[in-house]
Amino acid sequence: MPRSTSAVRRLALLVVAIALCTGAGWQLGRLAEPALPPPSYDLPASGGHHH
Amino acid sequence: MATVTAAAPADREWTRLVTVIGFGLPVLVLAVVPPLQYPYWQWTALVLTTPVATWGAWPIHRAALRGLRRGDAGPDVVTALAVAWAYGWSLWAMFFAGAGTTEHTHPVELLAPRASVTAQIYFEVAVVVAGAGLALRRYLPRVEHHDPGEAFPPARTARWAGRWYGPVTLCLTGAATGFWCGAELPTVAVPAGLAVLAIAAPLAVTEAVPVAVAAGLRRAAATGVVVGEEAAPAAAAVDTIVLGRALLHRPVAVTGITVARGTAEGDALAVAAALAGHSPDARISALAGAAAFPPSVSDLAVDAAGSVRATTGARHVALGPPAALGVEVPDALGTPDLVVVWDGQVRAGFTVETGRHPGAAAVVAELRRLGLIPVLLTAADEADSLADGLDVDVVLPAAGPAAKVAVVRRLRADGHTVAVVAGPGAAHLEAADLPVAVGAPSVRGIGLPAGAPEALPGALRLARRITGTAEIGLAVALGAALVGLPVAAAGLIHPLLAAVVGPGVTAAVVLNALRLRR
Repeated sequence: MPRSTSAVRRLALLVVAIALCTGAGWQLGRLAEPALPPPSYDLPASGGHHH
Repeated sequence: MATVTAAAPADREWTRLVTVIGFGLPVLVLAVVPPLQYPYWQWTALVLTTPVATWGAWPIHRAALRGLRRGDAGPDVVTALAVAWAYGWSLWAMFFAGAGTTEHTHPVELLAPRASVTAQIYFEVAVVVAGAGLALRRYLPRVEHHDPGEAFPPARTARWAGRWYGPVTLCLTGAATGFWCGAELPTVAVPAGLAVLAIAAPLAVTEAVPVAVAAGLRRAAATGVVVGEEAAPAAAAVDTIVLGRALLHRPVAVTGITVARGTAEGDALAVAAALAGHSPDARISALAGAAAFPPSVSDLAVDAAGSVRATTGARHVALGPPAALGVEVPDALGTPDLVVVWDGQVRAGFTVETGRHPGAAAVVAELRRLGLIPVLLTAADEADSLADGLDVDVVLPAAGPAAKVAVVRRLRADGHTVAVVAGPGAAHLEAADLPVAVGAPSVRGIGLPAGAPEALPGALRLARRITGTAEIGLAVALGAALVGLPVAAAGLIHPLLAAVVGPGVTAAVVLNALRLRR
């Protein structure tokens, strides 16, 4: 457990910041999706799954 | 009774590092050399990586947990997360995404895979991050560090960067992963997030400055110069250097002796030594050490020129310049500066040299080459003799300590950054941006050995190199982060490449700083 309230506050802030950045990234990704190149379905000839 | 002795921590850490390398190397080789990937090779990689990512990386995980308990998300947290991410994702891919099948191959790519399959495994990333993390944790503490005070600007930047580096990396990891998931490219999200963590983990932005400062101070100490930690940034900014007799003046030296016929040299030196210590004149008192056991003297009389007359035994003896003593010097004795006389006859003559240090002109020329404006600040009566033939810009005779302080203050008020070279305790030393004390260490500035003005340019150059090396190291580390992190987040590099570049940059920065020691 974190040792002090200031440590808890810092960790909580960090978690919130990461969550906010992840959410913002997600939104940006959704907006950018039509402009992005489609994923390559070509896999090496030596094997793998074809979808 | 058997005694169980726990291995010393250092031994245990060495064993851990060797084990991690021993288990990790085959994983790395299997991953990057596709022809070696026999059926179900990935299960071998899993078996070999498991101890590396858990027991091997345990010191990293433990340090990360301790940091989190204090509320710190530093490099340990980033490294531990990178290992956990690479290993955990690979486990998931093996058991739930089909990477454990016999057809699984692992193409060698520098760019992050954009393949549609989620069955990518990153065991090799886990072992490289863990191995590099352990190696850096083992070797970086052995490199001498000296954390300079707030007066060292690169140190302030490094501390600031060190504080924000971990949290920014974690937020960027979240943003990159979120972006690629939002764009419905989860197969990019995993390697992109992992590459961000892997490149950031060992990028020690906090290493460059303390290693460079420690190496520079070590180098300075080896040359007999004391460079205070605040001297390094000040030396980089200095444009004007105030010189004086403490640096340029040479102590009095007796350079020749001639003895009259019938006089033993030892007698002449003994009498000179017995009288010299009583003279206030520096040139005469320089003879005080001429004999180890001078005779005792009585009836001392010292005149205005510093000449000394006395009685030793039954002899009336005198020492001083011939003119002051009113004696004729025999031609055989040449033209000595000082003579020793007894029984009314000149018995020996001494040539005494003083004045400017013979290396003064070369030192001033060297200071000019360093881009500094040399200013001579000295008493008016010796300004001409000190400045003669020297390439100094301005000669500013100052009467006393207060006047010298005023001159230094005026130079600074005119916008110059001023170094002052003076004897310890000189008032105008403290008025300088960079004090250079001759014959004493200086806490705030540079300490030069007495009588060695030629050490000054080297000391200034070293102080500048310390700042330059620290700044370059910091710029490289921060630059690698500023370029590497966005590139990794954009999914443009493979996590393995990121995991190699990070420790490579750190090692290069530290090794470059250590060059200061040579």
